[in-house]
Amino acid sequence: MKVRVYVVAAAVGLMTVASATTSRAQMRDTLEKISGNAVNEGIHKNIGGQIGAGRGNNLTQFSSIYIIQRDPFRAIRRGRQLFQRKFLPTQGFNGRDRSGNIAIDASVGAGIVDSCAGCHGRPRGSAGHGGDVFTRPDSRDAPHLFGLGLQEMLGDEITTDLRGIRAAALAAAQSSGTPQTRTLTSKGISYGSITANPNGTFVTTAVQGVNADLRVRPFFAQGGTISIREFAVGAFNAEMGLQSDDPDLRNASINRLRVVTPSGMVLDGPNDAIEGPPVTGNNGVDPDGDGIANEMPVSLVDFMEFYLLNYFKPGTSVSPDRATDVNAGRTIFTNIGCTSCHVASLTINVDRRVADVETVFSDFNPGSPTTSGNPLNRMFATATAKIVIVDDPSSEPVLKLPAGGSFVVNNFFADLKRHDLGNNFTERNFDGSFQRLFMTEPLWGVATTAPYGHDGRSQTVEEVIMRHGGEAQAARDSFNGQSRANKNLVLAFLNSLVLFPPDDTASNLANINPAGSNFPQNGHGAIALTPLFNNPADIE
Amino acid sequence: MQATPRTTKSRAWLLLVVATVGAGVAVWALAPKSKQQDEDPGSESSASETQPASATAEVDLTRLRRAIEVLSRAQADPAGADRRGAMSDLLSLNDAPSKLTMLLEAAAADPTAPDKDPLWPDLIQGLSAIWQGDGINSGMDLMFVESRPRARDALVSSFAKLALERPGELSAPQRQKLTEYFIDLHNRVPALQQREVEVAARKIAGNDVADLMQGKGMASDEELEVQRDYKRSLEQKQPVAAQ
Repeated sequence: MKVRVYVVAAAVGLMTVASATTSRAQMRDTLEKISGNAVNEGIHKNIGGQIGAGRGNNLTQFSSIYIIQRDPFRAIRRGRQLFQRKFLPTQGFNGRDRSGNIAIDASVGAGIVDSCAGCHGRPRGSAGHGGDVFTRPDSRDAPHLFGLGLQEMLGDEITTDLRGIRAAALAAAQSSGTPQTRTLTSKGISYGSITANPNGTFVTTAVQGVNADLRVRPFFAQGGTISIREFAVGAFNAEMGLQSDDPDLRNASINRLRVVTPSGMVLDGPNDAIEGPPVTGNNGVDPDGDGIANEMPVSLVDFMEFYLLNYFKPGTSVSPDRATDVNAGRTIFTNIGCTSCHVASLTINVDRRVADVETVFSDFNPGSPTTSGNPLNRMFATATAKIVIVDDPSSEPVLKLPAGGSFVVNNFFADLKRHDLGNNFTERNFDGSFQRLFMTEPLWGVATTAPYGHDGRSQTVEEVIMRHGGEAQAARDSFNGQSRANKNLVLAFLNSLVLFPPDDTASNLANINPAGSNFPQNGHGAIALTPLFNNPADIE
Repeated sequence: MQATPRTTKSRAWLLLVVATVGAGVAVWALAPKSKQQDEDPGSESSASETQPASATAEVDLTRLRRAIEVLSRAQADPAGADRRGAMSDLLSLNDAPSKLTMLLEAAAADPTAPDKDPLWPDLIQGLSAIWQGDGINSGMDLMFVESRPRARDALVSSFAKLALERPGELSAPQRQKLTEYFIDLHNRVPALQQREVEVAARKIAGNDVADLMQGKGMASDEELEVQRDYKRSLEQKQPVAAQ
């Protein structure tokens, strides 16, 4: 088998992208019974077209695995269009009986919304933030999903490291016949220590920031979920009333099998408590009684997982006239101890994504359209493919697989650990108990995600800093002890960490076209994947 | 739904991208490929992004072993001719990825303290000269991910040298990214590199970042340059406003 490696050495320049490749937030599909859409905006495949030929394999045309492996940028795009789709009752949306014990099943207080973007939709067109749900008495805010795949990979790699240390400690204990203690460190982050006994048991009282099983759970404020797939299938059910009998989750959670999803995530059923799908058994089951079975076929879950795995990381907006303030603020932020938990950057050993997008400030400059931002947000995104091309023996198009190289996750600002942030962060549960431990919130995108805190009860960045206590008391006090001028520099730095609307952000995939008609309503550029499809004429 | 073209294989996708991008000008490059990569798809990962160079370059192992053997020996005279010869041998390499790999391997294996190593400046000069164009981006990431202390310190010094001597070669995003790395790494490197980073940061990011790295400007009675400038601008405007 021949393998060729292509990387993007540079991808710049003016590219005119057909208007059909632009996209909008929370869309209907154009094949639905809607009139008056003269501009033909919307999703260009109906739900059946998105489902395609099911999961199949990499020889089954129109199946999810085929598209993920042979046309991955289409797979991302399809997931994105699914994310923005406004589901209809006839497609299974709603219909769920939301009665039940809310103290046991928080999803009783969730949803109902007709699209993923209904809660995760700001900035527009993105997998952003914006919603608020009644899954806790004092509510939970919907976090943005930028960089979600990077978080999943970091959590998974740290888990592997920690469990490797545990295994080594056990081997040493058994060979020496005495208890062996090892420090738990991964990617420069300390998770305390663990002691292995010769009899195979472990003392885990000194483990810090993670459960005794050493599994990092990056998702949800309390650190409750391991994988994007569990997150997505759970949200489809709880927030949208769409039930999936996902075979991967079923096999990992119920059959306790080790499953590799089409996105390459290992669901370690024998060792982890994977969340099961809301429907189990056969696809004829209709648990919400709305007359529609198999509401979220596996291929759609595959596309959604792949989309979120590859979703853009947040950007940085540092204009030349703000660079001094931003950099001074970052230095103060470091000096006062914030980075002991909000770790700036971490490295992924094996990147499962097929592309990276770097998005930074770029002033509107019509004279340099290939690198210019637009007047809407003055950002420019540079997409870089990270794939290997495999010419397999079949007659199908080549395989385009993740290159799997290492990747530095810059400007992340989190440590993937749980911390006690004191009484001001403590959260009430419906049963009267309290949640005191929370995952360090990654600060990327923080400038554009107000209000703050897991519950949205802090209206500004400064207020949420002042809300810190517990393990963060010293850093909070150090911030508070700074002069007003220095505090403003820290805030200037944090205000440089931004989300962006991908439809409205110029990129090397779709530059600005200031000479076009009605600029910037048209020609403002976009992070458009359609030109990278095997067949760009077949739009999503 | 339109069918995906079935007959286009291997290069077809590349051609498609180029054709689509066409005037669009996205340039896709065929990365250097070694025989080993042909045989081992798993090694492909190294050819993409930010991989330590040791995994990407074709390395003359015999030559590397010879140089490392000499440089890794604790020697009474670190300026000895055999050490100088070994370093010169590595520095004379033309292929940048190989040169980077071998210099870092040698740096990591060398027990000589940098501040007592007469060859350290040569090593730093050799590394710094490698950083050109887009290679600066992956080099900066390499500086961040390098876990071998002496190799990391050499990379930090090489980028400090770049910032100090050739700041004009940094694009605006590169300058910002290097500033961020300097801020993030400053507390993690030895005193020698800390001083170099402070000087370099002063050059590319201004006095405030450098002063803050040195612990200045944090106390209530200390002001940063940006604050003094702001006050000065207000004072200059006041007479105008009064008129």
